Amino acid sequence: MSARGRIPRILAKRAILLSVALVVIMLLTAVILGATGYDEKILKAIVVTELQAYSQALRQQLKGSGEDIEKLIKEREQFLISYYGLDKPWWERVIPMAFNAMILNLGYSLSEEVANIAGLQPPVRVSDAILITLPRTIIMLTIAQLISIAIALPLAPFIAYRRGSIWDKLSISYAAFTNALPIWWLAIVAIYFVGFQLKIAPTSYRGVISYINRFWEDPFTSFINILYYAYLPIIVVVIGILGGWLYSVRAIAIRVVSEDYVFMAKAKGLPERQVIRHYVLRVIAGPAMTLIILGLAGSIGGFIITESVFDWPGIGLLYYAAITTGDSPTIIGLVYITTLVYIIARFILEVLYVILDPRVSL
Amino acid sequence: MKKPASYIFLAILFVSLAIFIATPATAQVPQKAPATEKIIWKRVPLEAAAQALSTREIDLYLFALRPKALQELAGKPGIKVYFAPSGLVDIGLNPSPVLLVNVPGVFNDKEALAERLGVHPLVIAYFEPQEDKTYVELCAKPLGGLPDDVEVVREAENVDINPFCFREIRFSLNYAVDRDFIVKNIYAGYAIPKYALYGPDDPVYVELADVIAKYNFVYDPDRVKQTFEQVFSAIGAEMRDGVWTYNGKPIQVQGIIRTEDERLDIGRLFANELNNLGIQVQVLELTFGEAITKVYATDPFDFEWFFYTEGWGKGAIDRWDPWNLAFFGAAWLGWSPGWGVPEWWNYKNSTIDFYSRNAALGLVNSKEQWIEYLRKGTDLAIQESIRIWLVAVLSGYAVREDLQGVTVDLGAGLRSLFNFRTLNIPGKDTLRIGHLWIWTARTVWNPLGGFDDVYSVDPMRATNDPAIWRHPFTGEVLDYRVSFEVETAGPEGKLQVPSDAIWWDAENDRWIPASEIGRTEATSKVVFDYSRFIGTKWHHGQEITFADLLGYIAELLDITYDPVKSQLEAAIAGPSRSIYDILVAFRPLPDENKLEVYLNYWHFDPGYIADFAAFGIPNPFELIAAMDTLAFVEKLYALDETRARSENIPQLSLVIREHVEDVRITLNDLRAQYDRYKAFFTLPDGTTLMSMEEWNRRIDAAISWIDRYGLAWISQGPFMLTSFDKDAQVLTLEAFRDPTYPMTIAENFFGIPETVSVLRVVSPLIAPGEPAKITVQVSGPEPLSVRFIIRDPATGEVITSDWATQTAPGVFTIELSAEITSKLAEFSAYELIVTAFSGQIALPDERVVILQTAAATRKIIQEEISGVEERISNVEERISGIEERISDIESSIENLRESLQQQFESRLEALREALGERVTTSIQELAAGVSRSISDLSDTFTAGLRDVTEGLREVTGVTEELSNRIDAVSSRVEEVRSELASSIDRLSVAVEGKADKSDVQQLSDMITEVLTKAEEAGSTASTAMMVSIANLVLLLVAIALLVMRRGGG
Repeated sequence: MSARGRIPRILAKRAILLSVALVVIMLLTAVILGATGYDEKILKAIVVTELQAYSQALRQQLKGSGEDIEKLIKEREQFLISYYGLDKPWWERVIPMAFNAMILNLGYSLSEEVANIAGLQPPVRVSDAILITLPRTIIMLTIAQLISIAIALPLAPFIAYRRGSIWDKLSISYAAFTNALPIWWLAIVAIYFVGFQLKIAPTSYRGVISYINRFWEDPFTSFINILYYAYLPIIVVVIGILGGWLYSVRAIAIRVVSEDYVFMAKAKGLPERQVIRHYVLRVIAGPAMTLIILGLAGSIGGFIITESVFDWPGIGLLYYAAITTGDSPTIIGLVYITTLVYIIARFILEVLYVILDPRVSL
Repeated sequence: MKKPASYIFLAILFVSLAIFIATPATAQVPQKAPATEKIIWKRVPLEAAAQALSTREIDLYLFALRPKALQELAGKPGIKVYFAPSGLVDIGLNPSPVLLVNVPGVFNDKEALAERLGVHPLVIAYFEPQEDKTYVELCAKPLGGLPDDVEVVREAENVDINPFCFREIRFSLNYAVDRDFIVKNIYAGYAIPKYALYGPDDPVYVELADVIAKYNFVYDPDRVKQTFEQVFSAIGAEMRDGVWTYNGKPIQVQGIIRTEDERLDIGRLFANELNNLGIQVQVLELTFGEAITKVYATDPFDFEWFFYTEGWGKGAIDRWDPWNLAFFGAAWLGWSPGWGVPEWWNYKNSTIDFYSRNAALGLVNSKEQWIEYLRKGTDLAIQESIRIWLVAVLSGYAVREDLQGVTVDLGAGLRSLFNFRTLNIPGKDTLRIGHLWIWTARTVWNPLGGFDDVYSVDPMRATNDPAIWRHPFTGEVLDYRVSFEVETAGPEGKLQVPSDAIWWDAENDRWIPASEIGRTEATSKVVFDYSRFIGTKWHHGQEITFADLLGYIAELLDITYDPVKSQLEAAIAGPSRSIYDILVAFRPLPDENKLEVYLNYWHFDPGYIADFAAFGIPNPFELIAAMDTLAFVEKLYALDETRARSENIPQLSLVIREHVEDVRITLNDLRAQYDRYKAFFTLPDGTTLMSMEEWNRRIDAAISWIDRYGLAWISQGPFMLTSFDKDAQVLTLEAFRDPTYPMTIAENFFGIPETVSVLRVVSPLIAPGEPAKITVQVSGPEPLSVRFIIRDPATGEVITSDWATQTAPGVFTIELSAEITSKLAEFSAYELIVTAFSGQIALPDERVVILQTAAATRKIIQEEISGVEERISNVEERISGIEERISDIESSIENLRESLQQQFESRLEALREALGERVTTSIQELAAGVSRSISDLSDTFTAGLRDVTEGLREVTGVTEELSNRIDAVSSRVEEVRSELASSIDRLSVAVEGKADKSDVQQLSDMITEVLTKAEEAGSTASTAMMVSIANLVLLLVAIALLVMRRGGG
């Protein structure tokens, strides 16, 4: 069988392997959540604090009466125990969630925090929470990733080509500096100077949610407003991650620029641009694409603190809310979606490797 | 014909006059609320609040700021901060035992049980005699093991002893925390020390001050150390290298410390104190989510935590609040360790449960009994100390400096309902409010099952007037837009319910005569006057009618008692039933705009009866009907979140776009549903309070409102909700300027509570056994009252506690009877704790002064005098000794002289006989010379003695002088006493314990001076005596030499 003929079969094999990995990951997540008692502990604590809040509320509500207060608290307790599934063993509670997630039935979130992040009133479908928060993260982080890639991909080979030049040193220093600098800190500084002092960017970013949620009602106005709200966060994220991109792509390119065929091309007197385009870029396309695809896939995981600073509730904060409140359906849903995206990205890479680099052995 | 200029002049004059006349009249019309035209209400994250205020993005921040944030704001130009108590902080202790056993046999005596188990009685935390055995909880595993026949029910793993299981240890920890340090250094002064579950920030503290004061919880680590030694030594623990060990292992505890706020420093401080006391502490510094899983999600018996830095929000201010005891001191509501989870070990104290339950549920016969229960329960809870109370936190509300109309509510701070009606920035018609959130998942604008969070409640209060409310400073019930009169026959008697009183028949959806179902008598009756509601307008322009009131009450009763509705909305029906079961009947008087409510409820404060029976009218009835349809007919929405969670349907909120659209559709449908809801506002006699025409008109108005604003929140308060964007987290309120709106700015403005201050406490020296009067001067708004406590600082024992009598405005007299002062020991100083309260302000002022007894002062002086007298007596004795010795010397000299004379004469005779006449003559001459010499010598000696005598006389003079000075001292003492008794100023200083001491010091100095003089006199006398003796010796030597020489010659 020819190599071309083997491609579908091998890709199918990879797809099956990746699918198995997905199932294993989901089961592991469910077991970690349930068997360790992680979610149960948090949920029990939530029941106690909810009951405390309930009895406080009853105190106001019942005024001077309230002989039934104990009974009411007990009833409430029963309800909460049943609502959070604490009346079931963990395997009955969590394992079905993992399997349901795999058929995209993510169920309902148990957490008010998750509903807060999604901006939806409970009960909130986990799928809705993810679908609502995902575009927010994409607008801020994925676009910033794309911009960074767009800058780094053509620039880094040139820098690599001039290894040891001032540009090379600058890019390395910049990468080291931004690597050490937390993006969220940069965000605070940016809001203070550009927002509060220069007054050319918003100081509160919550408003963007309204335009994202209602984008299709008036796409043009929404787009303009989203741009107004998003430009500073995007710039901040680009400043924060560009160094890493430059450095990574440069590192890949450096190995290539020292190859004999590149020297040969240079010796032949080909223009620099042509050498880079044909002898460097083409060769680094494979590994660079790996970085890009995985970087883009990873960007949907969100940045918890940066999202917090910009009051921009995306996937990062959704994750955080779900984990801190022991909201298993959302945790499992998020793990499933992010893993699925990763696995799809891996699969795409598998295909791209073949297309971009015929040397890749199948 | 006059010139036009004259007409113009006349016209101007006339107009000016008219304005002049009209102006005062206009000024007298009270200005209607609200004081500003528009409020833009937006989310501002906590960390951006200071910046937003500085840049004028907001005029006030409605979320209370913590001390650290306040410190950032301190000194920023243009920003002002108002303070109000907003939270409580304590250290929760895990009192769980480590071993649970069943001992064969029934034991009622702890000592006997301890002996049986072979442990010290202190180790037994709890025991309960059962049928044929006794259940016992032990704080430490017995060192010598358990008897073989004792059955172990449960045993803690890896924990041999829990120090916080010992009540004595827990109690002593109240002295291990330096509350003043915490207030000053951790909270930068933005807190009030709290010594027990009730403190000066609770209005009911006035009834409990002495109960709490007697414990004198000051920072006293030595006392704690002593308690630790007593308890641990008794149970067999040993101190090794500064660490308490039990069973050979260090006694260890694990503390959970919250990291988000000042509790981090508090927790570390407490851990440090425990380490210093010899307990090893492992600290876990955790955030809320992590901490609660350790503390609230584990069995206390598992010892995941031993102490936890707890923090609580403070609710609305309540004049008669029994709940702090029920929540924080008792077990029955599940707020104590074990959290009421049946399978876990739970803290228990049936006596505290009894007192707190009866006080909380109003199961009392009188105010006195209620207070007694609260006092006893609080006292026991303090002794049990499952929580060590530290501070009431004062949170700050930051505003722009030019913000006017501020009322500081001592419960709600600036979130007070009154503020929304009065706040304004002069010269501006828009107020910008920042809040932490505008919408959260819990934010539900729905009067039947929503409004569960501050983010919905706060703006709702700006748009809705309640019927009655609480006074912002006292927590007393206040008639707001409805006035009331209370009549009661309670707690035991009954009133007749009139025959035209009605009750809602929920099964058949109609109002029926109450008598039909046997509702003929009630404990109390409240007459509400709704004249300031009825006849005024809803925000959508329709008139508020009696039908709105009756329809709303019917809906509430229907949700509670209708078999289907109460099932669907069980979470609303359950608590509501607790309230409405107590209501007996309503007597609507539509013509008078009055509603009589009959109920089987009694409280010693009539305001509380009215509060119990009051109904507001939040929304037009057509809107209530639409909500009812969506929840119970269409079943598309839940009213309460419990149903929403159970059925996975949304909880109806009148500000969420999709919900509003459904309300609009439903309203449209309701045009044809008049008959379905007609019964809600139709009296048993067939009188219908709303016609179909009005019904339809109202529905049109409501739909128009929704079309205009996209919101369904229609109410009757000073502001209208005109925009709400949950995603952008911003809402807008616009002033409701309908002329029928009755509420004025003036009646909503209370300002900042004046402080109550104890200015001076003027106290005489108390003579035990004699009556005494102490004067207290107090400032603050009347009515003022003063409570006093006299406490022995050494033992903490409260000698007496009572109310002072007001004798003039701001002046109170504490009268101590002879019987009371006789309880005071003669020679001790006491603490006099004076607490001043105002009927208008909840926060009292407290001052502690030193009360000294006169006897103690007199004794000191008497001791000094007797010392002086003793020294004088010594001097006198010594003088008398000298006199005796001088007398002896005199007689010796006389004897010597006589002996010499005799010897001389005998020798002379012998010589005369031997030498003959001539010699005899010579000898006689010699004898005469010798005799003269002896006489001279004798004279010299007598002169010397005279000197001695004069010296003695001088001594006597000094002694007399001394005596006179002592008299002077005594009279000075008397003077001081009378001065102290008569001089108010000096006595007020004496309160500080300074004047008396200086006076005594002065007296002491005088006495010392006298003593010095007496000693000087004694020394002079001694010198004189020595000189005299020396003179005598010299004389004798001279005589001897003379005799020898003459003899020799």
